[in-house]
Amino acid sequence: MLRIEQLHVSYGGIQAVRNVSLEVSEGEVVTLIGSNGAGKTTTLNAICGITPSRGMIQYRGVELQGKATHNIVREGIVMVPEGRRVFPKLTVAVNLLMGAYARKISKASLRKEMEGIYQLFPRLAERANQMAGTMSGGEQQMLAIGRALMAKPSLLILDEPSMGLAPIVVKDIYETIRRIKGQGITILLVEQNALMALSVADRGYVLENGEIRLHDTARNLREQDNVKKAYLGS
Amino acid sequence: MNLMDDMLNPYYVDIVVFLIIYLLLGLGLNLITGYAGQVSLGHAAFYGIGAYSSAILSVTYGMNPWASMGSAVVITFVISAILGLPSLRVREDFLAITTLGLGLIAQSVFKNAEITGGAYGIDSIPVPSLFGLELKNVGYLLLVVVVLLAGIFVMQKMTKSRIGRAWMTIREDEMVAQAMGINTTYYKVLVFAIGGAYAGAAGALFAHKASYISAESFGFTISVTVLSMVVLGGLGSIRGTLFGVSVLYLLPELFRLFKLDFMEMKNLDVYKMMVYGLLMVIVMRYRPKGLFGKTGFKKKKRYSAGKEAAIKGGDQVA
Repeated sequence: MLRIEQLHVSYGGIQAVRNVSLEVSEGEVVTLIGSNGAGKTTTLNAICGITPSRGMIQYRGVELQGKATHNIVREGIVMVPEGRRVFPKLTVAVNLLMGAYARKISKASLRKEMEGIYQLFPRLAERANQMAGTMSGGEQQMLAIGRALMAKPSLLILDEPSMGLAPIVVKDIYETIRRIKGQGITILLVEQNALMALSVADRGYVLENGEIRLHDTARNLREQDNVKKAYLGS
Repeated sequence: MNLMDDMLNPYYVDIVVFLIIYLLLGLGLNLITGYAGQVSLGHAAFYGIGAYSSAILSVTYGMNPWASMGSAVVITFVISAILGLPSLRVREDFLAITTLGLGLIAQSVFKNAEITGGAYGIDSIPVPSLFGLELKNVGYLLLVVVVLLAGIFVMQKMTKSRIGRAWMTIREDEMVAQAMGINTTYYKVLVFAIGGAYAGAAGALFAHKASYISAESFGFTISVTVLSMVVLGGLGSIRGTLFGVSVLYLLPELFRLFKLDFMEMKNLDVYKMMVYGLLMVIVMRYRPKGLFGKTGFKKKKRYSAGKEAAIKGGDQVA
C-alpha cells in the first residue's frame, strides 16, 4: 500500500535520513523503531510532505513526492503527531470535528462517527466540552488518535504514542491501537519503546543514524540478540 | 438631512466618522492577527492603498466616488493577498519585521510616486452623493455606519464558518492544521486579502471624508496604534476590537474636551502615545489576553449544552 524507496532527507548539510526503503501492506501494522535522533520522525514528516525529501514515496500507486501535506491527507494518510499536539484552547468535541475538516460528509454520519470515537474512548465523551489543554497526557493522546480517526484514514501514522506517559496509560493506548488494527486500518507506528511497539506490530524496521539496520517480522526482531541489547534493555 | 446637520455639532459627527474608520481598520487587523495569528505591523499600508486607490480613481480618472470606493476595496484585496505572501515563509517575530518593512516601503512609495501626487498628496477628492444629495456630515456618518455594520456582520459569519475554524486552527498549530488537511497557504493568503480589504474600505472612506490625503496619514504610527487597540481589546474577539478601538480613540478626545491647563494642546499626540503605552503595560500585566480575550474561544458557550449539541455543532464542518 505504501512503498518508499531510497528516501533521503537532509537538513542543511546534515543527512538525517539516508537511503531508507520500506513497505507497508494493506491491513498490516508496521513499526519503525530506533533511538533518539535515528530519523524516525523525519521519515514520517517526509511521507506527509512536511519536510522536503528525495526518493520515491508511493501510496496506492500514487506518487506523493511533491504533493502538499493537505492533499496527502486527502489520499487517506493521517498522522498523529509526536507529542500529541491537540488544540489546547479548543474543546474536545471541536478538536474531533477539526479532524474531519478535509472530508465532505453529512452531519448525520459525522454524528455517528463521533459517537464511534466516544465509544472507543469513553473518557473523551465525559470530557466533550472541556478544553483539550486541561486534560492529562494520556487523555490528550486518546484525543489526538480520535481526531486522526475522524479523518477516516486508510493509513494511520502514529508518532511515539507512548511518549511521556505513565506505563499503565501506555498499556491503555496500545490496547486501543490493537482495536484500531482490528477495524482493518493499516498502521505505521514509530516508537522508542521498542518492546511495546513490537508487541502489536506484524513487522518492524530498525532505524539507526538515518539508515535501516534491520528489517524482519516483529517476532524475529524480538528474539534477535542485538535488538534486545540495543533497544529492549535485556 | 440638512435639519439634522444643524442639530448635531459637525465636530462630534467627524469624531464618530473617524472612529468608525478606525473600527474598520481594527476589525481587519483582528482578522489577520487575532483570528489567523499572523502578526502584522504594516496594516497602514493596506489603509493607504485603499485611500490612494479611491482618490486616484475619482480625482485623476474622474470615476464616480461610489465606483472608486468599490474598486478600492477590490484593489486592496488583491494587493493585500500579494503582500501576504511573505507569511508563507516567515512567521511570528520575523513576520512582524517583514510586515513592518512592507509598511515603510508602501509609505515611501506613496510619498514619492508620481501617481500618488508625491509629497503634495491628492486633494479635492469628491464627496459621494445619493439621489443628488451630497453625503456630508450626518449623511456620511450614516454611510460609514452601514459599512461598519456590514463589516461586523460579514466578520461574524466568516469567523463562525469553516473558514474561521481553519484560521483559528492555523493560529493554534500550523503544522497540525496541515496534517488535518487544511490548505494553510490558501487560508493565510486569504486572511491577508480579506483583512486588507477591510483596511481598504476604511482608507477609501477616509479619503472621501477628508477630501485630502498625503503619505503622512499612512505611517508606521497608524499600524502600531491600531495593533495596540486590537491587542488591548482582545485578539480574536469582535467585541474586544470594538471596545479597544473606541476607548483608545476617544481617550485623547476627552483631553481636548476638558481643557486641562497643565497640558499643551499642541503636544496632544505625545500625550496620546504616553497613555497608550501605559495602558498597554497595565493590560499586558493584568489581562495578557486583552480585555475581552479571556474566553479565548467564543464557541465555548455553544458547545456547553452537552454532547448532543457538540455533535450538532459539526453541521458547519460537514
